[in-house]
Amino acid sequence: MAGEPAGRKVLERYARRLMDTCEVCGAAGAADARFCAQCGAPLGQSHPVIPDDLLTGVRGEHRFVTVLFADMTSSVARTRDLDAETAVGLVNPLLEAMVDVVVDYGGRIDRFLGDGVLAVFGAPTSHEDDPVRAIRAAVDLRDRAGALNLDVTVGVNTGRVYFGPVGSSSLHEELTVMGPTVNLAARLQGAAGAGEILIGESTRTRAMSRFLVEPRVLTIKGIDEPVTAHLVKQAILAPASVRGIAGLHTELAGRDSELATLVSIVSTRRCVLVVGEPGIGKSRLVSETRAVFPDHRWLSARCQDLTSSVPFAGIIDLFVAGWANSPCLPRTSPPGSPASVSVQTSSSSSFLRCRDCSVSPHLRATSTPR
Amino acid sequence: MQRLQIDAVVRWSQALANPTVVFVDDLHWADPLTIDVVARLSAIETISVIITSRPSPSLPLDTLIQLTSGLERVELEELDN
Repeated sequence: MAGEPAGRKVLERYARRLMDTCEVCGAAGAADARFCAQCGAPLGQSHPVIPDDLLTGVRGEHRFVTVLFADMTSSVARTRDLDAETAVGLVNPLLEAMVDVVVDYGGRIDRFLGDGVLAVFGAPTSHEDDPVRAIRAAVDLRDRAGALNLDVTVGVNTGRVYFGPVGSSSLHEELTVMGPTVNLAARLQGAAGAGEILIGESTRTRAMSRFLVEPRVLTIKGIDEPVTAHLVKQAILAPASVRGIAGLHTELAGRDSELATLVSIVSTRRCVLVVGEPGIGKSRLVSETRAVFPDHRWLSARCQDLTSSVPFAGIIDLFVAGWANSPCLPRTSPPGSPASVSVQTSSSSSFLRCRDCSVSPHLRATSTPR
Repeated sequence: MQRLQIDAVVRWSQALANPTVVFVDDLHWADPLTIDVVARLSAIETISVIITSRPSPSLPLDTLIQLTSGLERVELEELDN
């Protein structure tokens, strides 16, 4: 192994370039000359300055991301008696599923780690709901592994990381994430049992009300205090709005005229579009309106970033509660014929299906999320 | 097929007992078929529809406005301190 740091070698190469020769005629130049004394060509123009990145050694950026570690459970034991090719045959379908799921949810595969994966949600492309995407990916991944008769352990954590190249810029470098957030995600994955998904507190607070979780206090190597992680049980089908602070109720202020407008519209069965920037109070205004009409039947649906390309995803909530016990109304049955309709949802699709005429589902999603 | 599905949804909604309010939150993230259904629901006289959305430019929002006549609009501005 060469003891010399690679960065210094590169520096020296640049320096030699600047001093030694003219790139046009090959004549020797002087270290401080800007033009070749022989042919007049500018010296060192292809490398006019030593790049800043070599001086600082850091070319990445700080990003707020959600990191996911997933690993196949007891893979060593399962592959111990297999020859290498057979072992790959066992592991690769799982890796393939991991890639599928992560990419489906808009994440990036950072790297494979043996029979596991490190995935990042939020760099280079970030989404408003990256923590939710990561957890849903984890849940899907667990299901996909189950279908392959395998188990995975998953750790998810959210926070600020370094995102950029590491290693030697001239010999070998990789684009990756680094920092305590990443380390904790890896530890959580290590602490998870077969088929378990453990998420950090910072992930949970950003995905609250979307998943049922169970707290678990862990002792993590390298961290003095016990760490509270959360075991993900399942996704909540029709999550309540997560706006505001749970348990805190305040008087609605300054929206009297807007509230009066909405109340009048509901009274006269008209339709209204409430437009405003995030956090301005749209959902609050609607919930205040709702309180005025306690006897009305309210069918609520929420469109989500994650499913904005899934057919009917935005309105499926409307019918989850309402349709489950209602008569079947597809084209083949006379309206009102007694039939039971079931609701099936998964991360990528949701549809209502009548058990009597299942060939004609009422709603069906066929694509996967962006 | 999708036409039939939307028709089924609309027929079901028409048959709902009154009074019904349909609330669609965060329309700016709606998929195209959801926009279709929301526009059709808005045309049903017996139900009231409340939609929230972030401001334009937003393809779902602009599409819905094009498809729906008689859609009133409430703009929420920042409150004065």
